[in-house]
Amino acid sequence: MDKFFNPADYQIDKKSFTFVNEGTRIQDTKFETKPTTFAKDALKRFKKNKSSVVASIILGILILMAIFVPIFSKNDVDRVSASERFLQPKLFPAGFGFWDGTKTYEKKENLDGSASGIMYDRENECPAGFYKPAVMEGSLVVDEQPTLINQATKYGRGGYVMFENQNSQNVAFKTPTFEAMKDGSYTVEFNMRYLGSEDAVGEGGYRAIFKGDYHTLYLTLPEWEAEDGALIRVYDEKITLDLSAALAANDIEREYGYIVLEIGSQNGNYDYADVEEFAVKADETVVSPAALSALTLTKTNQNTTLRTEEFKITDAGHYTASIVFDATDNVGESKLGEYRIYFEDTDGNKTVLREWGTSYDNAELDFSGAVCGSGLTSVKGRLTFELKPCEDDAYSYLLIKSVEIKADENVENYADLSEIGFTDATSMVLKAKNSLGEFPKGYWQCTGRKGIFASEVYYCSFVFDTYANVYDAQETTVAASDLNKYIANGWCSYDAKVGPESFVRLSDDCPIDGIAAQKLNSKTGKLLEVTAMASRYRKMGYDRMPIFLLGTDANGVDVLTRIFTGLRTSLLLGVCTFLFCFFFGLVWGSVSGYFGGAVDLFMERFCDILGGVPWIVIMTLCILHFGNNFFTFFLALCMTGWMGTAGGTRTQFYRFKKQEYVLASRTLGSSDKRLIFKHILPNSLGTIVTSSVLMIPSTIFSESTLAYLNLGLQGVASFGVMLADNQQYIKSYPYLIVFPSIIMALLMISFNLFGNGLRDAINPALKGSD
Amino acid sequence: MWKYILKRIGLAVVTAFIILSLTFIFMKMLKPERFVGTYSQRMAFYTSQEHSGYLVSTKTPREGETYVEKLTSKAGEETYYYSVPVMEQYVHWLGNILHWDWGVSKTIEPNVKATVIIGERLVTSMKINIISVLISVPAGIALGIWAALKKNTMTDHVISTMVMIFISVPSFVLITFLMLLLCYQNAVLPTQWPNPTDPTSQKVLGYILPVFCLSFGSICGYCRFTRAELCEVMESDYLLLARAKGLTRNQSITRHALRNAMVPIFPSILAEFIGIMGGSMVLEGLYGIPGIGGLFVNALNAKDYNVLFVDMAIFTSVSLLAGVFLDISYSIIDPRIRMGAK
Repeated sequence: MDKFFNPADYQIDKKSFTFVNEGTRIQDTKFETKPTTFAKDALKRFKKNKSSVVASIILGILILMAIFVPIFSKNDVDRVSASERFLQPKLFPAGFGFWDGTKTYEKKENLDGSASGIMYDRENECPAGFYKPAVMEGSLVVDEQPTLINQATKYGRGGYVMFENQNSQNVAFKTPTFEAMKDGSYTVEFNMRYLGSEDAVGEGGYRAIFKGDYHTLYLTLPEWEAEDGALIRVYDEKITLDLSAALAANDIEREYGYIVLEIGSQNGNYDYADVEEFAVKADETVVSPAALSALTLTKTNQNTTLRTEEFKITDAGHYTASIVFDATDNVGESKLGEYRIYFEDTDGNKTVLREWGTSYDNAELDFSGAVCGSGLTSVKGRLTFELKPCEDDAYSYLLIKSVEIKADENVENYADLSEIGFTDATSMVLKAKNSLGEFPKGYWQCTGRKGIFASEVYYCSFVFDTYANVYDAQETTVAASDLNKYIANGWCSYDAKVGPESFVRLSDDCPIDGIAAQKLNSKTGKLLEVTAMASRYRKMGYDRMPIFLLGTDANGVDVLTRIFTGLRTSLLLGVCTFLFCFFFGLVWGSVSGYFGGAVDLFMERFCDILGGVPWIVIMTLCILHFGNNFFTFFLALCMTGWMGTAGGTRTQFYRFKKQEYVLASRTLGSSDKRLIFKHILPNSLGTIVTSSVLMIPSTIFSESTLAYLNLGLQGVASFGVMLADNQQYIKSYPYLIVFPSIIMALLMISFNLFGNGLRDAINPALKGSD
Repeated sequence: MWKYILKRIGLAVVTAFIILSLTFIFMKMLKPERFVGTYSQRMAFYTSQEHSGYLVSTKTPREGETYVEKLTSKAGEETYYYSVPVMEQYVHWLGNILHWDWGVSKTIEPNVKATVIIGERLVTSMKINIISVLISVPAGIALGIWAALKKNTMTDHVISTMVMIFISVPSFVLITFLMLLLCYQNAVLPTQWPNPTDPTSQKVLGYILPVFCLSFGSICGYCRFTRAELCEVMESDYLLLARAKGLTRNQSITRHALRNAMVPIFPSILAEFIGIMGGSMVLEGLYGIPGIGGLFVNALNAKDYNVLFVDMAIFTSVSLLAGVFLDISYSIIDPRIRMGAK
């Protein structure tokens, strides 16, 4: 006996007990508490889970926005407006500091030491190419030191003209001129010998051309490639070409000309080949040279020239050209070349001013003597720089800082001599063809590549108001008809007889703020047009300056609207896939789980195989077979998606079909249908739904991932497609990626939290097992 | 045991075979893409296809049948290539894979064996994956243990919330953000996978972003898994018994809780090591890594079917193999578990 337990202390008198409901019948009384259903119980549990509640509210907002934003937004996603592209996200007025529709441009130092950024336009005193009034006041900072760049830009100053000879690798073999006649039979025979090593195979071919005085005849095909796309490149083999056939085909009686064999390039890769045992054979006597087969080949590499526009000099005048060179070596892979300078008149007489050489000393060259040689009082001609190609693979180049051609005579010619020379390489290089395709005066022609070296530019950093750039008031001409329309609307009043002072703005709707000048018809005195300050957003049809909360994309489409339009498509895809997979999986799983046995075994093996295929493989096959459209994605996602639901349903059916209540019902003679739909399914549905509902976010996930890899839906503005479209602007306009990504992440997080909360609420036994 | 293992492997091989057969047949049912290139390249490609038994060539065109390709040699000799019926191709394919002939590439690297191309890419993918597995497994498990031991404290909440967030954020969003932040805004890391010619420092820096991105998902996964398992074990009766018999908390955790919690985690680590042979399509595509994931996307876009098929075969076998490995290691670690057994 326990020493602490004393039965006497626990003695209770039998009379202390009374029966509460003694004598009352409670079978028919109703419960005073409300009966709780499974759903209510689950809801109560769900509510306790704070994070899930927050997540479901966010989810609800996102879904509602996906439905209603595209409907109510004034900004149509299909409307492309090039002028409104890349407007920055704006919530606050410009100048607030962030989220104010401005973009900051800064000079960036690249890893290789060069710089990139926006150049400063000294002429207009604003960043080059930017609308000056939209640059935020006080934000413009211009570099103190210039940066040297090798690029032609009209914002650059100084530098050197560099003209390059890029001919070095294109080898041509040329014969002396001979006469070819139609009646004769001419054949060209030669051996092509390949020079390169096996692994240095170029991608060039060869071609043979007869260049006559009047005709150019191709003995091979004009292109490097044959008709079937193959290159003509047979080496180590005797090649015979028929010149007479070409002559006959073009019906040429007789012609002086020469044959050129070109070994050319394709895709920048050259072929290395040489020509051997070259012979042109004829059965006719040829006037010149004496024997055709004695024709010797000369390897010709073209010289590159840089020449002025034609100008006229007279024997009375005194002409000098002062030339400043630069001998900077090592410009890329090019080498300073051997050059000469001469004055060439229209008859081709050359007066050499500086012989071939590699002296880069500055020169003061007098070319008045060029007239004397011709015996005339005046000649037209050009000053020419001629550059030899390099011997090896490199290009040759010449750097010229300035050329000034001076005359003590007035030149009666079209060209002003001072324009023939140049002191600023940038402006010289830019004197290329104008928009009409004409060469402006003083244009320097170059047979090679003309470039610029070390020109000075200033970079600047500044804050740019993208909205002011597109929408603010700007001086424009407004036609009288438009102005009359505004007057008729009662927006403003104007009297053309009085002039610009009479303009009165009556309403805020009026696009015109003030009139600066007017233009009248000189005969009738009627108003034609006015020059006015007009606000552009009103002209575009907006009531006030538009604000795009998340900016606009490359097509000028509002990003916010685009996001939610895309989200709607993605959600639609997700929900459609979920519905199909859910019902199909439910049926599959029920059949497999309820009947079991051989049916189950077969269906399981089928799932094993299908489930073993990675979804990307199924997706790929579907894309290849059916193209990238909504249906393909739906199909591919459905093909694998249903197995999860089916597996879950099968497990649930196995669990419930042996339960006593099912057995009882079966004993009472219930049909399979009744057992499935009345007893097993209602019990297992909750678990199945909660586990399947997460298919929606995973579908959206899969779709956007694929779209991001550019394998996504085409022609449908889904969420992933939008992200993929904007991917290329990640560097310059990161907000285009940032905002959709945030929404995407928010959607995923909310969906997962919501799903977890739902699972915990419906199936408390699984709680915490995430 | 051996019988079970053999059965599982055998089943996986059969499944893989069926999947690959179906994939092959479906791919061959597509319209054959023409090879674009020089004559000799095309000649080589079609000869290889003919040798594999997928095409047949004639010197004269067949009536009423469209040819896949017509080649005209320099001498003007024409060769026409026609598709062989799909099922006949399938029979040839069976023979080819026995000789380990998987065809040649069409566009990616013309006329190079698909297996060679994959082999090169596989090495790159595996390098990144191995590093990330070595980082993510210990980190993930450690975080998970930490969270479980501090269950329902601030530490646990912070870790669990972070895991929840990072598991929900799609990988491409994460990669894009990291690229934006580290490569473009602050230029700390290279914006693309470094070229083989780049200096070693660049190459090392090039690994950081991919490894980081790949590890992130796994760390979160392992953390969540470990936390859930350990929490469950911590509430079990035998742990209570262990404490009751006088073990300290640390002793009971290291000797009993961790070991039991590792039962389901360990197999998934093994499966993870099989998974290193796969490549992340998104990461490799975005960062320009020459791995098999990026290759998959490129091959699909270029319609290089031979390469695509081998790549698909790898993805399929890796996922099947990982599954088998998972099941077998389960049954070795805990003999009570026989996945798929009756």
